[in-house]
Amino acid sequence: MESTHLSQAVQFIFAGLTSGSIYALVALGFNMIYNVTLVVNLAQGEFLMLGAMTMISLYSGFKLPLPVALVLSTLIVGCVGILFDRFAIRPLKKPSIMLLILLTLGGSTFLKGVALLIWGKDPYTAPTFTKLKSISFLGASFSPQMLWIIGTLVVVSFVLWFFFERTLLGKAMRACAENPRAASLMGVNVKTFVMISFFLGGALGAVGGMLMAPVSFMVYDEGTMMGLKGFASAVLGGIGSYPGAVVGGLVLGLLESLSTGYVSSIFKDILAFVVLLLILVIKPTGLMKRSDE
Amino acid sequence: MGRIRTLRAVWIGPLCILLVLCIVSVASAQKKPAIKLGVNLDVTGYGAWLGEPELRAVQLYAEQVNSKGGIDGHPLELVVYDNESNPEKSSGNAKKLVQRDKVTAVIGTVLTATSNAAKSVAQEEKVVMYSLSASYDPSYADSYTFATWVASSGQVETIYDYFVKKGIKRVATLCATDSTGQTWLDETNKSGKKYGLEITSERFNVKDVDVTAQLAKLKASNPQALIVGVTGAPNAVVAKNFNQMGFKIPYSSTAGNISESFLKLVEGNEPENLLLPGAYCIIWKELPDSYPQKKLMKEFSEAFQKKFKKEPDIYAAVAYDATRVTVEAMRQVKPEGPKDSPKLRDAIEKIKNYPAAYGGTYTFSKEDHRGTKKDACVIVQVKGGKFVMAK
Repeated sequence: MESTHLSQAVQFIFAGLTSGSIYALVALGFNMIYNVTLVVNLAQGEFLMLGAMTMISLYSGFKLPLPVALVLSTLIVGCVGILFDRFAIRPLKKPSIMLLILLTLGGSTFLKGVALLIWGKDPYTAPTFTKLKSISFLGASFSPQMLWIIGTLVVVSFVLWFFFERTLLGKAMRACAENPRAASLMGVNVKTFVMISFFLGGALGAVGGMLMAPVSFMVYDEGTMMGLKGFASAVLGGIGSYPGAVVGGLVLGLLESLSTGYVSSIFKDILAFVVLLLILVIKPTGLMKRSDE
Repeated sequence: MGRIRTLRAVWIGPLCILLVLCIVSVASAQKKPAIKLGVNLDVTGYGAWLGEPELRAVQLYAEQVNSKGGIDGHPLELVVYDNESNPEKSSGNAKKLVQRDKVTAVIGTVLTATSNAAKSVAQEEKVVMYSLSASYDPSYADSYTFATWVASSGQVETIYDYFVKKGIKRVATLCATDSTGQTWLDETNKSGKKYGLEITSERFNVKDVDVTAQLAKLKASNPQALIVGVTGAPNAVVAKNFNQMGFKIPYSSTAGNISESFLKLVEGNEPENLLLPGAYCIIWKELPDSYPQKKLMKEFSEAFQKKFKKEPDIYAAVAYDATRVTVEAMRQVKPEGPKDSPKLRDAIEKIKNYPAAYGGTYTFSKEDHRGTKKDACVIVQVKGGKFVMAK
């Protein structure tokens, strides 16, 4: 009996970490764009959808090798991010935050429409990255894709940390976020960095989508809900904070799976969001952001 | 200048007259005014994979009717709106169809939620609405709504009949939190008691990317079979998780999952023992020629394949049926608009033993607006990428 409890708990935790890692990747994308532009990009979920769809097309349709398909789709969606900035954000003469957010909402609908035209209404799925059927661990069994998802989040977090802390480009980008005017006086071209942030935002969304497609499915309007969950994670962790995005995503994922496991699956979403609200009431700046910032 | 103008007038006058004559003659060639049939289907969104083949089946039948001289000379005109699987749009469409387009009846919708949303419009406007949902309940007092295909309760009983035959006693259910899931939860529990089965149930959200937590909980009760109460792509998530967790027990779900797109979604991950409640129209080739509906099923299947290069699924067959039943009643009533819809309803209620393209028959009454029994229901399984009768 003890071992069943243990294996159940392990199963719940891994289920939470899987969904949580995807939420975290979406949340990282949110923060990437928010930090440089102060825009909450409501099309972030659509980047995830585009990433998955492009990967499936390249891999299953054009028969490209998987690693090539993965890299290409990341780049393609990154470029969609750049185009988004170039044609929707930059042409604005007097950008106000409200207007920009509305623009991203329009962009999200536009991207959904484009995806509907390209891929139609059918749901698609992708094979898992490794051919192994399932992995057993402490009596719990799960998809090998789970390791890919969690592993990717770890790698992405490390790369981002390295980028922002150790490279000039990353530091300049942080400067844009702190004070765009001062940064531009120091010779940093803010517009270029807005573009880079949209590229990275798109790429991060794409990575989340590509990891998610093999465990579930992807359809043209599937991005919206994931975008919402990602946004909730970003807020939970403290909007703008990268460690916060990771922690927020994982906490939300774990809250969902543990409330399913130990309370009731029907109250899962309610419970997760009630806890989220409670955390924000107690600590309005989010889990990982200092209140003096 | 003046000359050119007069010249032009000389030409334009007769031309106009000619044009008017043409229109009049075309109109009179049509003889009788068209009878309008509204179509309110979930062609995009979550219900799309049912809505799309259903729309095709409705269009196919309308074409067949019109090529054979229409409804006693009246051409059948379809007015089609997509409700995007959205309940609000569904009731909006129903209103538009009745008030603006003046249709006599509405075919639709696909999902329980969208059907429930359109129901109030049908009742207020007293216009026949023919839902294609198995979970929607059309049989209530003074109902203007009908529904086709064997109800969820019939599907559940078909599954349970099979389980009992196989000696299964403990059944786990995993139902979505949408209205289809709710119906399946209620029906599996209700019939479970009748069949003396032990039922444990869990719920999940159709947007979940992972349901291993729910499955781990269900595993604790050591079930002998799983029933998943959801239709469409979310079922693929459950099927994949089920497989990854190493379950080997029979896996059953709603008839809505009997489609090529579902098989494609779970490809390489299909549960070993996938058993779905289907109807004879799926396996008509296996039936003896003496089966009364075989000819109808064959003709429908071939006509559908010829036009759309795709085999029809159950839902295409029942959409075809819904249109056939409505047109059959229209032949008797010859409606001129929404005002004749109450007469149309009474005419449908009088239809008895009408052969169905899904394999059974329709017998309607004031109390029974579904008119089907589970007699044409059969458990199907997958073999070599095709659905065949389960042994």
